[in-house]
Amino acid sequence: MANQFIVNLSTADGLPMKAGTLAGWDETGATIDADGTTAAIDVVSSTGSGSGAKATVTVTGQGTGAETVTVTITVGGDGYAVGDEVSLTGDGVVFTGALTLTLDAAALVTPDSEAQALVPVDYALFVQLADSAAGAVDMRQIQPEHNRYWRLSLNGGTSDNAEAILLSVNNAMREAMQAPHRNPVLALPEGVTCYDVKLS
Amino acid sequence: MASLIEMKYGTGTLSLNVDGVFRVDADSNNAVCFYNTPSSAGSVWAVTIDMSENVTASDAAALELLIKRAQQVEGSKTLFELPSNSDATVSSMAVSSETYP
Repeated sequence: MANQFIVNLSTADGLPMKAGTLAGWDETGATIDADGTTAAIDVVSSTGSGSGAKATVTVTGQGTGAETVTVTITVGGDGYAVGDEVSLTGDGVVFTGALTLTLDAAALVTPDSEAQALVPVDYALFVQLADSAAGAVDMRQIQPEHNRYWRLSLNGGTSDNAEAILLSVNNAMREAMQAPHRNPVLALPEGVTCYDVKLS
Repeated sequence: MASLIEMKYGTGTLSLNVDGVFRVDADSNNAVCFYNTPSSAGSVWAVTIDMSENVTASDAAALELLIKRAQQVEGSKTLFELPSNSDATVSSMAVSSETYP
């Protein structure tokens, strides 16, 4: 008989932006000044409640008539949704003014399509934060010749609630291990949701 | 049901499943729990517990004894405190492949 806990999945509080190159930015409000790459710039929401994402902007070929502007999301942040309008304010060196974008699904991380996920604990050892900002919690497990983890990707995690998040996942794992024939439900701290569960 | 060791962490405790642990060593001020699960030929999986205070050889011996007792009680959940410093909390745990000790 399997032991597991249930994770309710939700995108109601938005999603992080997807890391990597992101095309489609509107440059009409910006002036391209020089070749180069900016430091990380905050991705600011004009509409919606997303925050925390950062990006760099790289310009090549300025003044040649064939310039390219590449935006790379370096930090995904939290709380972004399809249709949100976001902007990047120029650093005054590479560009001035602002680049703007209306987010589509491709700009955001891909959530699990299920409403719930089951996380088996039969081989689980312990839980740990994947990063100090509590963007994810990993539940480590070992089997012969396999060292893997279940990753719970979270929206709303911060360094301030990281401890509470980790303890909540630990409690769900422990309850599932100690109470067979039951499927405890993970109770995350207020304002924190899980949007994806994967075995890595 | 799994045998668990609980260690202080913030306002609560973190759990470590100790089913299959057959030895605990002190190494570089950490405790290393060896599991009866092969990682490759001649090696097994181990969990290194980094505490907020140094783990001594006698601390590791105490943990090994506690684990042996916990393994004999189905569904046990036992709090472990460092004998050398009961205020110590767990800082991190990590899985690694170790040569069979």
